[in-house]
Amino acid sequence: MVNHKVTVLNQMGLHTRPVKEIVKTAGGFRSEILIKRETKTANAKSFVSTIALGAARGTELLLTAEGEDEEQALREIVELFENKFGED
Amino acid sequence: MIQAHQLKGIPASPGFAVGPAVVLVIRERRPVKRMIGENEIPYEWNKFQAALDQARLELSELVRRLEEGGNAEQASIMEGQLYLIDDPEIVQGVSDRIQNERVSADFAVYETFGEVVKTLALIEDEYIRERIADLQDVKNRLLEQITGETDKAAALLTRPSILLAHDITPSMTAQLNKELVMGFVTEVGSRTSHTSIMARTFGIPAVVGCGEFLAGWSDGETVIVDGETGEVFQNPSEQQLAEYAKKQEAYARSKEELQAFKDIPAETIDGKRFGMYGNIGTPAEAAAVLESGGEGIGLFRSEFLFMDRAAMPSEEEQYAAYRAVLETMSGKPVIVRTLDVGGDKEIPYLPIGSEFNPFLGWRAIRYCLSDTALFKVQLRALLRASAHGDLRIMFPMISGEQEILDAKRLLDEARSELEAEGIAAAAGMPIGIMIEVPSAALVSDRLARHVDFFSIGTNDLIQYTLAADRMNEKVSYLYDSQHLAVLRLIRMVCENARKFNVHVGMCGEMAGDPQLVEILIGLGVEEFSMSAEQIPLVKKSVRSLSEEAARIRMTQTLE
Repeated sequence: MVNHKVTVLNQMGLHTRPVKEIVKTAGGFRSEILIKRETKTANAKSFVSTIALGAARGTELLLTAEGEDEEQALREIVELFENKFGED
Repeated sequence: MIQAHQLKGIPASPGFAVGPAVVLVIRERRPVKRMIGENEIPYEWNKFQAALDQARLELSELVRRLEEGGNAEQASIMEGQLYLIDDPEIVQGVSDRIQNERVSADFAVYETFGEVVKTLALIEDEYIRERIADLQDVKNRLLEQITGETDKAAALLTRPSILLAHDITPSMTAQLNKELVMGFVTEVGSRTSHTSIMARTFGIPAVVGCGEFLAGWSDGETVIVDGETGEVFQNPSEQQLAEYAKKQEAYARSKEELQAFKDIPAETIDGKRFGMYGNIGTPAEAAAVLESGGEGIGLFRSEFLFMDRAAMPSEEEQYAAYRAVLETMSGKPVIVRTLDVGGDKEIPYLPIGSEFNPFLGWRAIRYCLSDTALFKVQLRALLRASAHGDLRIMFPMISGEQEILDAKRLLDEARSELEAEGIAAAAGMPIGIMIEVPSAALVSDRLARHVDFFSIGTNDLIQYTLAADRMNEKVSYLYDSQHLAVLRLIRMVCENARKFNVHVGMCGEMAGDPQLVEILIGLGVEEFSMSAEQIPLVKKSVRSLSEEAARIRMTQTLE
């Protein structure tokens, strides 16, 4: 299992479009990918689960991936966060 | 025959309709809890799977149709629903309930969606809460498939009818066959709500905001919709039917007559051409401007993107809206007025508060120059959109030079930021200002140095010049668009525009009044911007006039 801490940098936070991007990217991997915020854990392949995190700009999240393609899966999801989902 | 009801609402889209009613009542589906035996599990699970497949198919088809119809905004809403259908957590939730709790597929779907909605409702973020409506839509679609009870909205219209509903939602609009809708009557809504804009876009007569009435009306009853007065009649008398048959005929005739003006220029008999532009509040209205023969958008009131919601629209959302208009207009000019808030336009999430004298207070450019974060988001969205057509930016409520310089500095900053990020914006985008404060008119020679065009906003110019509130019955008699002071100011602006080589147009209500065209041409107005339905009328008026005669007459009037 691999993990990585990220901060939500884009202005609007994890609203509809960024969550769609996460779900789309996560869906391309076999690994289980989770996003943790304090006590809440979301399945990155699920729109409703990820959006329910209600993560606004500045929120810190822990990403974990587990499975045969975990390294690349984690890298690509982290990249989305770092690029602010192409937003700002 | 039941005793006839009569309604009075807001006339939201012009024209008259007479036809059979279809009453659209949407009840929330609430399946009963039914326990299943172990042997039924595969059957219920398959029912759910089949419903998912069918819903996915329907939605993909809907998205494709909307995209082909150039309706990108609605297509993207419906596309978002596709994500919900394939959501593993939802599928898991339904699966658990069927396999472990042993409930039927419809109840499992109902419970699973209910739980998700509950979680999202707790989040303090309007953008996220907006997704709840999508979840309800998808839930209903799946329940429809599982129970085999089709929702009326989908299979509703089999013949031309008048649709009576509480409200018309975007997903209903997407499903409706507009060819069969003769008219709309709704319980809620205003002139700027979804139903009204859609009705105007498709040229369907509509009356909205009638209050609660659906209970007293039934399918098949004859209904008259009067989109001019806002009246709606149930089971009308022979006499009323005859009266409205005449009105419909006259309306169709005048529309046809005006249609003849669509593709011919607004040219006076002595060969002088004038620009005819449309005023819009939402991207969907742009198509109607083209239909009426408009040569561009003279005023896109961007504040409508900010109204009726809980938080400001993001840069992406604004960008998409501006871009949609530019794409609809395919190369024709589009003037976007930056946020014109304050005065009588309240946006609850902006900290303007209630003022003692709002029309002389913190509004429009004054507000934007102090909330630079908000203003920058809009300017960035506009600059990004400018790559997709002929976009022009207009600043409202300018009273002197400094405000133009400040606004332009922020625009330059936004441009440099975008450049640093490698994002392209059109070079040399024209910048203009509204002339609606008398001080701006009086120093328009100075202001002309800083801008490419003026647009005269008559509603405010008149009330500020005459110090009369036209909404105040006791002084509204003073509000006179043809007061000598107003006419002199307009002429001064037009003369300065000519002298310093900037374009001058007019986008207030005066510009759409066919009776005033001669006066405005006489004063030197070159471009007219108005609501789409006025364009042919004003054009007709222009074509009956001589520019030279209008100028001579105006010079005499102003002596």
